[in-house]
Amino acid sequence: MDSARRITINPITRLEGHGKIEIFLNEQGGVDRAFFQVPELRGFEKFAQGRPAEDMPQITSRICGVCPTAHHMASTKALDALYQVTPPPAARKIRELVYSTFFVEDHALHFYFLGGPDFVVGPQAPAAERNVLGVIAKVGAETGLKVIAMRRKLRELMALAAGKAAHPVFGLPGGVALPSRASR
Amino acid sequence: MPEVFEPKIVAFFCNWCTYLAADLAGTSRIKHAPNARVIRVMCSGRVDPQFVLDAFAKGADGVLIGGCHPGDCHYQEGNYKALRRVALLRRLLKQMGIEEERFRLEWISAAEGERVKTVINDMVEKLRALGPRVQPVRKEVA
Amino acid sequence: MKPKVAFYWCASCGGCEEAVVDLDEELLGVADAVDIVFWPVALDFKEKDVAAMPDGSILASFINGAIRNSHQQEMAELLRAKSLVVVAFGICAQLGGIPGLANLSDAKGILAEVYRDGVTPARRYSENGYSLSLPEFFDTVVALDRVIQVDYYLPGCPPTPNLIRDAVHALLAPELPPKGAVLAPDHALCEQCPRKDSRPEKLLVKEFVRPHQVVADQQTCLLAQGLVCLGPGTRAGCNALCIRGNMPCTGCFGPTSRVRDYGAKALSAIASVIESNDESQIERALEAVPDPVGTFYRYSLPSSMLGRRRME
Repeated sequence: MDSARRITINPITRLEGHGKIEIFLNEQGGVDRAFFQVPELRGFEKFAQGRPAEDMPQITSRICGVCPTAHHMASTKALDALYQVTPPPAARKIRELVYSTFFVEDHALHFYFLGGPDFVVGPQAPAAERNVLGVIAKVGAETGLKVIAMRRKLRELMALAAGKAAHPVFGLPGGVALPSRASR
Repeated sequence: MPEVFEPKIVAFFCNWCTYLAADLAGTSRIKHAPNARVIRVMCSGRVDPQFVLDAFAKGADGVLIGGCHPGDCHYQEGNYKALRRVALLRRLLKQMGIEEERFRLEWISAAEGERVKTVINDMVEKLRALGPRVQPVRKEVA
Repeated sequence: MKPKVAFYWCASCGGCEEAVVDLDEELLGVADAVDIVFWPVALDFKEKDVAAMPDGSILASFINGAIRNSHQQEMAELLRAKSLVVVAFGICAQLGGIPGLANLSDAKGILAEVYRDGVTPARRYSENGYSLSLPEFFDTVVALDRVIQVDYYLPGCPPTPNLIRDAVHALLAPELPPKGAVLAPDHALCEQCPRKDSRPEKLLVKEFVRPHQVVADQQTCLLAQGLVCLGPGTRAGCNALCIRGNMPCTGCFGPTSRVRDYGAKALSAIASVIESNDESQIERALEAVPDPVGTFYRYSLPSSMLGRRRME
């Protein structure tokens, strides 16, 4: 294969996970075939089997450390269903607080670190600038620092309610591990 | 004639009871299978689960722990500590694919030379029936 | 010229990269002090850019994740050649981590479960004269130091920003830490536990309880409440985050330097608190620990003495 007719993007960047793209061009330089490869598999489907159900929120969160809260919450809800229990209103609110906080924090991450650089810095910018530092340069250091500080506060809030922001530990069937308190 | 499989048993015997029993078996000329490699420890409670795992990892076909009978421990309750650890370790070994017959805890007092023979011979027989334990090969730094 | 630094992930979840992002404002300081030459989660540099660098031109590579397939091994080898220092970043790189639980099965078992009756990934594939390949999916997950020489270890799932900050400073200091060092405190988590004072001198329990079976008191030692908290067998450094969240420690910081097999030691610590000398009572107490391997080797099965389950 003539290397001019094969374009390899390896790895694909600014997302969670491993990926590779292979594009093959025809004689005219158009795309003939394009392949997206995921050279990664860990096998949660297999090794989660045999583990106690109540361990699932903490094990499945390791599917993705960028969105562990989503996996943690999905497993927790599965436990609610398994044990046929409905969380009391306070526990439900705590879960919603954590999830909403995660939602905002995760979007900030996406905008600044992951997808955002393609739009804010632009696809034509040099590769070395197409990243969070480029975004901060574009929006201004003041705004950048404000966003970083906000994200830090959100992560702290999550840790208060969920134990850890990266890989929360609060989900239990029918509720949460830690009641809310006025102060800490 | 097909070769008979000779299982390797690593035996941790406590200084005050089972080791003396093995000694007694020797001086009394009690014959038993030569498959046990005896390691003298001061107490069955000294047997760290790491010792057991290490023995299996290095190719032992079976691990035997011998201690004083309940109530007779030279250190009051070392053998009870062994009992608790062994109970949990046995469950873990099973999950790791190591058959229950390969790991044994026995109370053998200093007077029970005959029992050393019975236990070792019985274990050898059971291990023979199981066949050699194949320890999965692990990759080392190139 | 600023020192060059690389971050890479093998069989991992991205939580370690998130932990780096959690350096927050300080990350900008790090980006000022060093040139980050490779970091797939955040920067657009490619594998060929790394391959083109001279050997030894990177000051430090922080590699997270376990080694699950041949591509991860190749990348670890590539970064090793290019770097003066390699840090196993996070518990997956250090001991195998949660992806290491796959060592209870093998490649065949995992592929059969994941793909069922669908198309199973082929190592080589051709279409229209174009050929593609996928990495070899290993039977056994190993920790990073099984495939390359590792200089330092940073434990945790993920390591905390404080430890990461200290590690970066340690590596930029004129005198490096001793080779092979685990860059975290070398004592048990109990010593930094906020509930330390409530831990009875002789800790004994009649039975264990699982976290969903009890409303755990927020002040008292969790192990004393019968919850299987692995604090006594686990290295400190996390500031007891899970316990502050009212959940028991699951051991993500691995062992202290005096322990070779984390699970064996943690198992010992838990077995020794059972308040019974009676075999059947002990067995009953252990029914609340239904999954010893998943409990004691949750983050360290690949680097345990046995390493993996023996398959039939």
